[in-house]
Amino acid sequence: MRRRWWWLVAVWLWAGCGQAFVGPDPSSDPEAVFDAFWEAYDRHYAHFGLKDIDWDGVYDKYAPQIGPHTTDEQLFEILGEMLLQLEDGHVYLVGDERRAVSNREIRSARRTFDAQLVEQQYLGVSKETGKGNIVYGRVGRGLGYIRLSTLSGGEGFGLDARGWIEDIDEAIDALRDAPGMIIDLRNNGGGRASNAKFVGSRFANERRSFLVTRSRNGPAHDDFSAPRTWHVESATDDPYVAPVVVLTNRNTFSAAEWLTLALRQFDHVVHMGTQTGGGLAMFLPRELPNGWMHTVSVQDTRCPLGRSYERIGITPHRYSINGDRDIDDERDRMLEEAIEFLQN
Amino acid sequence: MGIQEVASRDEAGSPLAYVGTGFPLALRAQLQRPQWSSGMQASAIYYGINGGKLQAAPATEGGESHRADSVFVDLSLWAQRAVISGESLALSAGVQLGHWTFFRSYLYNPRQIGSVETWDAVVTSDARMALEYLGQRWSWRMATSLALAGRMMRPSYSIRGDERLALVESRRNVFRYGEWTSLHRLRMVQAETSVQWNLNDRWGLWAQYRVGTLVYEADVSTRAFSQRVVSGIQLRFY
Repeated sequence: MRRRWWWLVAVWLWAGCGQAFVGPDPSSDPEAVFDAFWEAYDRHYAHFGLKDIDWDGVYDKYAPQIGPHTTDEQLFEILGEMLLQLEDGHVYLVGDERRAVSNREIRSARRTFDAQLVEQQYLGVSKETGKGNIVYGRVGRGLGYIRLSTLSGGEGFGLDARGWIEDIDEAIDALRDAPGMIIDLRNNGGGRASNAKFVGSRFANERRSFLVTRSRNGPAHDDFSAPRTWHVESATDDPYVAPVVVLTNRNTFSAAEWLTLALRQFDHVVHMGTQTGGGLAMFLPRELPNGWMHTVSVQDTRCPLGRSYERIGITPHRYSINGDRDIDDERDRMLEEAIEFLQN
Repeated sequence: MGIQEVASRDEAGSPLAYVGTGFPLALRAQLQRPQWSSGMQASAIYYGINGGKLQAAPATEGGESHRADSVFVDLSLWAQRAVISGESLALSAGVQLGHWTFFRSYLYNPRQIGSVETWDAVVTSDARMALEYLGQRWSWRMATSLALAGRMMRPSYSIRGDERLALVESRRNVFRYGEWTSLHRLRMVQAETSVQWNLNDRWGLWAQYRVGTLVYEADVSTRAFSQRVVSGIQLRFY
């Protein structure tokens, strides 16, 4: 019996040491969760200055609404309201089965595009590659059409990216003789910046800078790392340099906006459609003491001329939009105008 | 082989503590001379191979813990000289080159886009003290080390900003984001006790308990803990 007692003590000591050293978890009461949530943005969010947001004022407004008896539902609603101040498509809160987004406008833009409609009405024969993420074919009078539905997934960086994105070469090779090409990035929610650079390199005939980024590197709202310039350059002896239209809508987002900017650096590329989603920053998922997860944009992104597209999006060279009834009427006016532009 | 507990509270990763167990592979070699000794030891846990799954305390009403994958590597090289020695008992002092890499990949929610990677990778210059009993059939050691200075490599402040992209570009960039530091910010202590039982002139058995703590105070602070019990065979050369 005496021996067993010592074993129990040993196991208890063993199991408790780690937790004892790193200390007890912070309280998960509503006030503590609210403070942790507010502080995560205060310490890491990159766009307070750009968007002229008074984050201290947000605290003063919402903190009095939180008390020890605030329910999870009420707390979630209040935190969700705070996020709306940021108007940031990369920012959201997930807790239990609930989700709150900071920018509600971007999601609603999905309705202005129907991928099936394009395949059925405009692409004679379409092919899929890149694990289904790339659809390509011919539209109009022999023009090439490539739709990238995402830039997520894969591994490697820049010209060494691999996974599925390298299959873009299959599509480009099949369409190489086309007199023009449409790169359709509508409803592309982004993914890996490396995939964006990889695709951009297939249309680049020289090295161009396309983005300058800085990251929050301290607790003050204007603490930023040194600027880093991102370049796009050709990765092939035979880049596609015939006229290209890159087609975007408000739901073209994040890494897809990086790709849009990269492509726009070249004279043979024209950007058509509507403004992009306006969320080019890297974002940081964080955890709250009660287990909820939320995200914080930590990066300032600008074009080489210093212009930021956060929230407003990248304005196309030629504006084009599908009206409310176009998709219902099985018509993609944006694609038609892109075809018309290239054919003329 | 043995069992190891690792724990972390890293503001870069989470306000919550993450604790886990692994089954480390350990290797130790020692050169023993009458007045001095030197040696090395290494151990590693790699998630998916020999443990390394960390878990936070249940944080939601549903009781579901959040998890993180981890890699823990512990390496030390030391040399020590007897300052007080008797027939079989010796008190030694020396220096140690210590290293910890404690990498963690957090996935807080199944719907999360992309994991969050943080790490403590530290190379330290330590002061070391040891008390040893060297007998014919068995020997026993206690040692402790204190990091005096070192290079601490951690994710940058923004954790997933430009530097994250640079890391994807080249893993070697992990060594770019560090700072030389000493006791004012880095406090790292390790201690061990081990027993060797000599079966014959060449073969023996060996068991060790080793514990280590790391505290790094910066804009984004971290605390890490490791304790392990390992045992194995020993081979002696003359």
